[in-house]
Amino acid sequence: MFQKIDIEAIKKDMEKSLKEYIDTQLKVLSKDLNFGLVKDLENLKERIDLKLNSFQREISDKYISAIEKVLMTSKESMFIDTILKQVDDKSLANLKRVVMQPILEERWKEDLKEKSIKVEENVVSKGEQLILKRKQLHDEFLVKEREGKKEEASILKAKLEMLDLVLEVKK
Amino acid sequence: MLFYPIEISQTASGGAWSFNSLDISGGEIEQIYVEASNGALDATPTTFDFYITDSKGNVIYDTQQKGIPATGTLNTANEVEFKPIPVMGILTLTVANSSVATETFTGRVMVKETKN
Repeated sequence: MFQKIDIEAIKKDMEKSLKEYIDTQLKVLSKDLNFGLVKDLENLKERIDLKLNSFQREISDKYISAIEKVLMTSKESMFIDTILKQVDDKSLANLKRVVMQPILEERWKEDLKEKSIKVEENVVSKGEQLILKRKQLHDEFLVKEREGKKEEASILKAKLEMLDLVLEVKK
Repeated sequence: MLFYPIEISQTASGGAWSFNSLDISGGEIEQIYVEASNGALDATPTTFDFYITDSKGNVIYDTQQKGIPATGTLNTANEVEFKPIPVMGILTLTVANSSVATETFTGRVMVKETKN
């Protein structure tokens, strides 16, 4: 009369259906999540691309303007260099020297200026030491000359002359 | 008689100067005259020490031996006990401890050269 209720079976059924339900729900949810994430990633990718492009444009602009400046400043010498390289005649070697001379002299002057500034700074910082060194050299020179050691005396004299040339600034 | 004056015209630096004479073949120092430029005029004359060194490093004349520095002008002609100093070779004349650091000095050391 009374059917035996198979609780175990019902339990299993319920579990099964619950599992299925959960799985389907999870699938649905995960699809949503994925879709959201994918969309965000794509947006991010676009933003990064835009930034990289603008950055690249900026860098290349600066690079080109720097090259322009370099070309402008060395325009003369490069121009003459290229022209004169095409002239491969011994009789025109003199012309090349005459044309290059003022450019070379300008370069040497600039180099000398830079070096002299460094020397001046050095002299100011070592002034005391130089003056004392000068006195020491002078005393040594007097002794060597007095004792008849001419070679050593002349070497010291040369050193003194160089030092005096520098110290003239201080006087 | 051959007189050879070792001329002095120096400006002190740090209260001192020194220089070498020419090579003296042989002679005697007859007189030493060293004058500090303000020595004659100023109320406070410059004091200094003066000495002569020979080619072997001997100090053959030195105002410091007396312990009294020269004042204003050093003139051995005024010193009763000064005797001629025989010299040979290169001499170094030195002024040290000048009371005025950048004083100018003039004068001469008169050498009587003896011919051999």
